[in-house]
Amino acid sequence: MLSATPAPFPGPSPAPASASPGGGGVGAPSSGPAAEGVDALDVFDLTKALDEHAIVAVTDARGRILRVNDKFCAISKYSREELLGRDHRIINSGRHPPGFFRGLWHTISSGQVWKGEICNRARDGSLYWVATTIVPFLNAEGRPERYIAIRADITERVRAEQRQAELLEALKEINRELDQFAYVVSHDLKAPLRAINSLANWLAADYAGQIGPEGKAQFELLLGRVKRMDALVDGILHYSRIGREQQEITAVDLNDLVREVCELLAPPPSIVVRLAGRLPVVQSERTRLIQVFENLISNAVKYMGRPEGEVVIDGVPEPAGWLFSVRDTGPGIEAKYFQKIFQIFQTLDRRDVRESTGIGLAVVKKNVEVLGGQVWVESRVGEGSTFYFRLPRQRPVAPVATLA
Amino acid sequence: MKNSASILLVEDDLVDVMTVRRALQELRVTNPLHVVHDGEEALAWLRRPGQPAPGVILLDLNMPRMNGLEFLEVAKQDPHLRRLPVVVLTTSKEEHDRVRSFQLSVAGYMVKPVDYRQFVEVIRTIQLYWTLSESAS
Repeated sequence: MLSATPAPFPGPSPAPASASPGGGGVGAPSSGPAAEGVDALDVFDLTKALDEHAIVAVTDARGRILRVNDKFCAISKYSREELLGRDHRIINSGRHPPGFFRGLWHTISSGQVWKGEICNRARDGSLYWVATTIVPFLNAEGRPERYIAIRADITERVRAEQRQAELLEALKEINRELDQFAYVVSHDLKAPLRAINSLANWLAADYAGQIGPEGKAQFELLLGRVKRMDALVDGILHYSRIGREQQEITAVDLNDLVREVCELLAPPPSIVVRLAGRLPVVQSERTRLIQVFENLISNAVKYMGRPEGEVVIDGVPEPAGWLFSVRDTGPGIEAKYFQKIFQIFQTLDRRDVRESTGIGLAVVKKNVEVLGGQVWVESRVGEGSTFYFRLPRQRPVAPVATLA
Repeated sequence: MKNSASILLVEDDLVDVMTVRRALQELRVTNPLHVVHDGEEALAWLRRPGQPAPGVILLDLNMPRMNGLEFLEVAKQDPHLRRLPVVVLTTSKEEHDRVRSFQLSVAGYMVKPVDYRQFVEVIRTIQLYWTLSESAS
């Protein structure tokens, strides 16, 4: 890249343009090259170093190209002769909205430095992206008489960002499809299940005399399994619905919400469910928060393991949102199960011991994550469990794909 | 159901047909039950010359060829069929299906329970409602 001639730009040596009269805080340096120990050689070296690093162009006040360095020629695939004297728009890609360059010109023609990312078009039609700084140099009247644009090639980065955005979108689409698939499959599983249930019921009723007590017991087991499968299918339906449906964001008073949830759950009077303090009012999706608190509180009550107990709900502000907790005085959970309990259909008791689908905490996790938060548990066996979840103040906005 | 008007059941699942039949027997409903298996068959049956109108149509939504919503769209455009009372009997809890059904003027929307005893209760509810409600014709 190093040119054989010492002058990086054709034409006169790159002495700074005329001094700025101090307008706009931007412009040429107020002192000449000889002042303050900066001699001509330093400027020459600096220019040479800059040429090694950056894509550089100098234009006049109307945007006609006065000088370009080798890197400019290399990336734009134009020869220096093709560029000099031409309007800088020769490399315009047409990929930016009309207001984009109007804004740029407004900034630099009023003497301000402009910084931004530009998509340009090379001579062979290919596109490239440059992180650009354009510095206007002002004449004695304070009007720009030339511009120096210094750029770095960021094409790879922009491509990677676009690829990332595309992958993210594809991932979301796949998740949507997965939810839809789970819904359709589980919905279709219901019809044969209903048929098995009905037929088993009728057989047991119509042939009660012939099947005897042992047969009757087996029919009861059969019907119990059908009921379990029905609950599991309902679980999948419920779980898939969390991802498929989005609700309105409203102001939700969690004090009211938790009270309603508790009234609905109606825990036995020997188990006290209370708030540690006042809970906040949050901007969020009400139904999701109901599902989160409902499952956490009902789990705490259901797995208390003894007649008396206490469930305490708390919410404390954090810099970026809130940290909520549901603490119980139950038996506690071994640390090795801390992750597993949040997976769908995971139960710690055999289903024959305690009829449970293992959907509750998976529903909590999915809802909290859709709201942009995290959920986790802290517990010691014999000392109760505390389920924490964090909610950001603002639901995260999906990243917008970069201009192609 | 009222007097001796027939009941038209539009249902493609054999066991669901048996379930409705059995539940009606259990509830001692003696009105004749006609069974067709999709929306097209239902329209053909209803449009048969000289066919007396049924007292109520029990309509499944998820069926081959012409599903329940498609049947409703046609029936509600037809001056001879539009006033026939239709009760949807489906597995779908989808909001879209429910809202669309009521937009198409169904008289009721019942979700089929897996449990047979509950199914009988659903049929009992439909029967009670239909015995007490005045009809359009």
